[in-house]
Amino acid sequence: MTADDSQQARAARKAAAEEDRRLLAAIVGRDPDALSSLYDRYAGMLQALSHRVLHDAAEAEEILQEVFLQVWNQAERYDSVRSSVSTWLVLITRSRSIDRLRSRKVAERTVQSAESEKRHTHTSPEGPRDVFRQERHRRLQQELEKLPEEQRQVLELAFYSGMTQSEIATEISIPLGTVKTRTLLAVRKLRRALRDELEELL
Amino acid sequence: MSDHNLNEENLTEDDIRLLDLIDGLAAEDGRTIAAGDAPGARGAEREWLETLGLLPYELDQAVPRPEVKRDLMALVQQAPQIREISTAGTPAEPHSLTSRRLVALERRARWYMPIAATFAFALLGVTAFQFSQIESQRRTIADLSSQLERVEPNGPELASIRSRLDQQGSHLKMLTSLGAEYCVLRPVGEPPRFPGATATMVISPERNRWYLAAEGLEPCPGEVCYELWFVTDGDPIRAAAFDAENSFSRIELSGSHEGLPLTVRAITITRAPASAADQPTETVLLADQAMTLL
Repeated sequence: MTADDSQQARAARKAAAEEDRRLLAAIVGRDPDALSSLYDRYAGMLQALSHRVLHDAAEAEEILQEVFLQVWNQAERYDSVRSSVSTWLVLITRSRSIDRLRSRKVAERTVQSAESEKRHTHTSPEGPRDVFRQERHRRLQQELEKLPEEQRQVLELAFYSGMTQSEIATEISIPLGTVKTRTLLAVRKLRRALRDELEELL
Repeated sequence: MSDHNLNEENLTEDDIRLLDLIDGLAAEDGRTIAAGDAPGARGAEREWLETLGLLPYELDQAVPRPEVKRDLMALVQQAPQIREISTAGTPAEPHSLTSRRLVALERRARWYMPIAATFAFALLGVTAFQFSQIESQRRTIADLSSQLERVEPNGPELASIRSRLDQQGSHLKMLTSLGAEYCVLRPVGEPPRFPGATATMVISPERNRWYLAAEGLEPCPGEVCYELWFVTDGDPIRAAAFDAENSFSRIELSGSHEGLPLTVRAITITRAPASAADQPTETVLLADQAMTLL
């Protein structure tokens, strides 16, 4: 990537983050068009996240609707000091999906099937549509691929299966200290590698 | 840091904060994740959180079906006053119809609190019913729309599905209209004949349409049917006769009645021979004594 490309990518990320905040402010003002736009920007990614947690396309769609209904009803609860709009949406989706997963009491089955379903079938054949998201998608895949398998595993169990570190230690039969070490190493590496992505979100 | 040498003594404050943050992500949207008091701690937490927030971008994007967005927007545009209340522990948000009424009641007088609480629980129940009904209508509309795409053009099924879609759309409109009146019909009799049965009636603000959802009524034998009555100061109004068909599952009915009196004293469901009688028969199964005005 050239310096110009990098500059353009940074400008695109910054503009996207600003547009997210503008849309959310409009949603607080009860503008359905703003909700529609925010949905168009994030529905694909959020449904993929929910599907990754639940391994069920119909439930992932339900979660997607619930998330955007919550955004419509509670947009004023978004705190820009705490997180970017994008991360807020990710956390709501993850939280709802994991709640649903726990209510189904199939966490064990999901852990077993997670490996085989990492790349689920209900995805876009074209991939992400806009360039900046395509680039972010590629970067994340690339950086996660670089992590040692055991570090990636604890991160995925924590993030996508909602397991605590103690639960992960029990699940994969390793000491709690090792889980903590792997988690810390994984997140620190990612933070370093994604510093330029993070700059626009902070 | 090697992969195996960590113990609690090796952890820095930053490490502990990150590990606590990851374990605490289940907190609904990150609002309740504990942060250190120092501004630097808050900044570090934010950076960790954003790093984790990027993780799902690794996934290949899904392609939500168009119906998902269509139904969401229909719900938002037709029912801006409907609030989801199923999330346990979520504080009532400022726009909520229920919470606005509660705040207003609280301001009027403290000694009204017990009455307000009772009223709030009643409203909450109705709102929950309203929400579940809207969800049910939405699902039915989505199913019918999906069927519509599959049927042959000009085939015999087409008219039937379109008619059902119109009907469901009409129900949805009524359920989401401000000023709709709701009441819950409960089993009567000692002991009640169908103790598990319930029904909810919605009357449109214009009082010219109604919608009934009933559950737990058993199929009628022979020439017997259920009848729905509005009991008024004048003559009772026989609104509908229906059967529970072959199951105990949900029954949905709707109808129109021009000029339904404002003084509906009760709504009852009876079971009687299908004789088109002009008075309710002796067997009242479900009844509600007063309308609840939303």
